[in-house]
Amino acid sequence: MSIDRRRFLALAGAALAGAALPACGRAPGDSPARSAPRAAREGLKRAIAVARGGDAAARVRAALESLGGLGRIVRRGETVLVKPNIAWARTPEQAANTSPEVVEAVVRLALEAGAGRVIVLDNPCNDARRSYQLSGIAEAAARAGAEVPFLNSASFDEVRMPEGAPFPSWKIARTALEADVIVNVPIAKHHSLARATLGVKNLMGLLGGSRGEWHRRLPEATLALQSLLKPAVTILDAGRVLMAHGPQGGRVEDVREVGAIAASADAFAIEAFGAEILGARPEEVPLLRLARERGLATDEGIERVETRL
Amino acid sequence: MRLSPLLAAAVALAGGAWAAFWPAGIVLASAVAAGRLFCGWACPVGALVDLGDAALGTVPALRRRAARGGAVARSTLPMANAAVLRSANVAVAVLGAVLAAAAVGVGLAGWVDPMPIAVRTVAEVALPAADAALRAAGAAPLVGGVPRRIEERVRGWILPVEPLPLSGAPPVLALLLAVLGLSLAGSRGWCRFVCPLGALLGLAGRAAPVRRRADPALCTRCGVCVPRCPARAIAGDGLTAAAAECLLCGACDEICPRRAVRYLPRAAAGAAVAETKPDVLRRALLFGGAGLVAGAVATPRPAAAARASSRLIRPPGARRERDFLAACVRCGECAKVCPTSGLRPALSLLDVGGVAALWTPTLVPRIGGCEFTCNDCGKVCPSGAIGRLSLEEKQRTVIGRAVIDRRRCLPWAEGESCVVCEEFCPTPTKAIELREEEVRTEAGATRRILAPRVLREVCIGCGLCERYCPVEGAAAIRIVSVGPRQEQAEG
Repeated sequence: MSIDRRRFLALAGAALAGAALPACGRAPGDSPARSAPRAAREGLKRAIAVARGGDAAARVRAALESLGGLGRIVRRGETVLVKPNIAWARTPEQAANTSPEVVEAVVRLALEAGAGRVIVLDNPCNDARRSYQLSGIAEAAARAGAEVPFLNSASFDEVRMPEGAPFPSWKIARTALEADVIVNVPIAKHHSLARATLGVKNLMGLLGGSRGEWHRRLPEATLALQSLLKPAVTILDAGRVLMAHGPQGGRVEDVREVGAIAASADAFAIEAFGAEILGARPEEVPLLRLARERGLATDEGIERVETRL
Repeated sequence: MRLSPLLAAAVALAGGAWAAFWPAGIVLASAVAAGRLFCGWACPVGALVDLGDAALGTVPALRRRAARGGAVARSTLPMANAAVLRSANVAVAVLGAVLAAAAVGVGLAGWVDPMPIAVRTVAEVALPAADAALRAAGAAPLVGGVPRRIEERVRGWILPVEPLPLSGAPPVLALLLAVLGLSLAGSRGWCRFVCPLGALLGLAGRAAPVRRRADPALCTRCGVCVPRCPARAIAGDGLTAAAAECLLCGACDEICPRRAVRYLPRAAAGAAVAETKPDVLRRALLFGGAGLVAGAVATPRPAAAARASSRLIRPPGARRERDFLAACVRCGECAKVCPTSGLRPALSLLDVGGVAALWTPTLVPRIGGCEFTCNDCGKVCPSGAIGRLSLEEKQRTVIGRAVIDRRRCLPWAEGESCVVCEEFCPTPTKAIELREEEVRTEAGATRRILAPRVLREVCIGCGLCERYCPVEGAAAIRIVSVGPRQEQAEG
């Protein structure tokens, strides 16, 4: 079979185009969403709101109202990621995950504030189906009108971590990168290494890859993640608190009924409050110690607004 | 799984929970009444073989061979064709061998019964391949969006969230190809020559009242139906068929120019019936007997398998090893249902210590641990080799013990922070304890660091620690076997 110049050029062109196809994929840090740290969203009152008494939903409403309401940080039609803790296949009574009532209340408030879409998700440690179901969160969130998807290996993008982070880049859930507003809804728990797991540690649920590596440099790594994702508000579920054998727990004897909700745009005010609930001095919590060293958290903290229902 | 009378018989002989196999009674009854109806219409492997036959039929070389009448020789006798009778001999011998193996305590039925073959093909080949294909398609540039959207719908529903392992695929695929490849020796090759369930159903249905007959008033003995029969069950002149071979597929009915085929006894009054009864029985005694003897002699003994490796971890609820090897029919249902895919069919002799235990389930913690809130494997095991445990019982059942390799564990060997094993330990009082230790690192320095220790009385060996240990390669904490019998933990 002889080949003439025209055919050769056509074949070569096709071969080059075919070879170029793989290059059309995504390179690390090239996510269509933000690869640079997200800008902080202002609007809420500069305080930490603590609500006690009543039921969980009422506490959530009261605390957010003290700060001015979600309407201050959610613009009409925006996509809101509500990030609870759904890490473990445990029931609400075991206090290893955020209470479903708290998640439901936050979803409703986000929709009332004008959100176009509310997404609730996590990357659980246990089997995802069991965690979503046993925690009661999937059902409660869906009932309130949220989308509740699972994360799979294709859900993450490799993103450059901020300067000074222990890892140059890591896989982060695309939903978190693309959402307009991130509302962090952790539960207060004891943690065997970090002493306390609250809002900042809760963001690890948006990580892909081999997260166990993070334990080598846990305070530095989680601080970097916080500065990358900058949740607009952190709402701490301190209704049932896991006081020992955290973060997974399993014994109802380790759970204490505290009956509180704390909310703030200042994530470190929440860390300090949570440490107090768990009976830890600030210097006993490595993350808080590091945050103070870096000037992210102050000793005096910010104004506290208490509400009793 | 519970539809197979062969598995039911094997389980009964091995002393397993055969009562759960009551649906097999329906299948057996259908055979007694209507011969190999199950084979022709219900059997999933039969369906695959039919598809394979159709595919093979498109190959020109094979089509030519069939046209030359390669498979069947016309006989002038009105009796059933002698060649047909001979073809099922191996199948009957396999049947005998498998039953003998069950009787001496090794449940090999699952290796060759079509129901487990079908389930294993789905669980180890079809679903993992679909999983991998979906993920690969999702990574494609430009067009990856559609497969990714499909994946979002399907994960957590048809497919698990974590990718399915493909490690079990090669032997299952090889077996399936061998099964389909037998059709090179003749259509429905597996079904006619080897399948022991087919042999059993044929034996049960040799005098079935519902069978293929030809109305002698209409049949012209033209013989057009004979080469059309995929089971080669029709005698040379087309009038009679062997009930022990006929699959009641209706291919002969379709092609008969005189519409002479009948199935019901009254519809074909006076029709000659192939005198297969003494022949089939004789074959069963002769070849089946040979199979029984071969099986009893050649089956690898459970005793050898009991000297198992330290990595053999049975699922919670498993009977003690000797009884387990007898009752387990190697069907693969438990591996299919395991939510972490940690329960795998044993593929390596190093894992199980004997050929007899190949394909029995063993936990491979590095792939997946035993999920604490799950007791599904016991629920699906058809023979009771894995007993049903309540969730509370399962959570106290010791299937193995965790052992920390201090030369590799990050705190012990390098003075680096890590508590992942303790974090994942699901026992409420924690089987891993963290203590501040003064460690001497591999490099020679001394550090004070929180380091883990296993509490042996509390550990149930679920393997979640091993699964998530962040050390590269083999984990720094590993589960080892606790011997042939499971105990209860103190924790």
